[in-house]
Amino acid sequence: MLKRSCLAAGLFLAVLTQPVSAQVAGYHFTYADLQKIFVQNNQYFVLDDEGFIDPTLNHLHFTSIDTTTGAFTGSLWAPTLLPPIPQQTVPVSGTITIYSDISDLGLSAGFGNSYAISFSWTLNGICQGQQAFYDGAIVFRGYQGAKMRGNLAGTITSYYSACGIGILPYSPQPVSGILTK
Amino acid sequence: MLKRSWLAVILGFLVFLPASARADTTGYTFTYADLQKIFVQNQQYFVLDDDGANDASLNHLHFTSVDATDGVFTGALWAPVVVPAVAPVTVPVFGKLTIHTDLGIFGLSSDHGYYYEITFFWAHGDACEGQQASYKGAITFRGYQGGVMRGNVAGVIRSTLGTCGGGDLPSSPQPFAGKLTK
Repeated sequence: MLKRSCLAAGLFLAVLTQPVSAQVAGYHFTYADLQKIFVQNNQYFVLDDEGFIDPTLNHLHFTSIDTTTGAFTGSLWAPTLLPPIPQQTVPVSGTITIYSDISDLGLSAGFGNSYAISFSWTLNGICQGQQAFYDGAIVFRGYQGAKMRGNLAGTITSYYSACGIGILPYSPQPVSGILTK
Repeated sequence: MLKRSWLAVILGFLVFLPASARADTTGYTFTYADLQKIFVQNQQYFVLDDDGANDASLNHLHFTSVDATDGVFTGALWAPVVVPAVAPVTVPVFGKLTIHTDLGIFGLSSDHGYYYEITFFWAHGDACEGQQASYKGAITFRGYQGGVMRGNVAGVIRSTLGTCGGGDLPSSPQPFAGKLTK
């Protein structure tokens, strides 16, 4: 009986896998693989919010990725999020977290791993400051030439604080974009 | 002395903030009734093409009803292409739009309009094999072009595929983003 149900599940997964692989490549990347893509190969995200933002702005670059934990440092070139700031390179720090596609019974459907990304930045001036936190996910969509394609979506929670004004909320805001090189 | 520092801060704040922000977002202060007009009466919907990575004829989020007092909504997702894959069907969804004001703790406004959160979920399948998915994201409205409000949504889907014999197969989180159209 158990064998039959396993077979049924296997057949079901076989049916599923075909259209899935057509859409998502189903990569089982490690943190070391991510370091190769984002740091060694210098691929970065252009966060243009479905074309609403100038693609020469809002670039998320990675400077280092810990190959055991996914902790990373990087920078955001010219964030256009609220509250607005002058164009500049803003240092960010965060974590990429790999989630496996293994079920609670130890089976894999071949979906590939899933990738969460969170990062934050702080800008402080005299009696004013900005804090922003990003929470999102990445999908890798296969190589085109030497370039891994992919996209990222999530939301920013951000605040502006100043003496006498207190804390002003600018949250949540959508942030999405594509991986490029 | 206190008054001077207040003035300096407020002037500095006003100079620092407004110009470039208005170029990015129109700063709407929509109510739930306004959202109902846009999404239900005017039948605007999201094409969740993940910044061009998905076929734009799939992954459409339509709204059937939006409660004008609390933002609770019902709707449908046409042909979701998120993993795990399902056949191209219309999947009913249930969720909530939440309006966050731009008011600070002292009652001051940043004058950039409100912020709009969206959450929804769906369940698809039968007792032995089914998909459960929940979405959490945010919307920005970017102004009318003719009779169409433009805007975009981005966030994250968390989904699992439950199977008899295979257990719950995870595929989370996944990015999910798109733009508002009509």
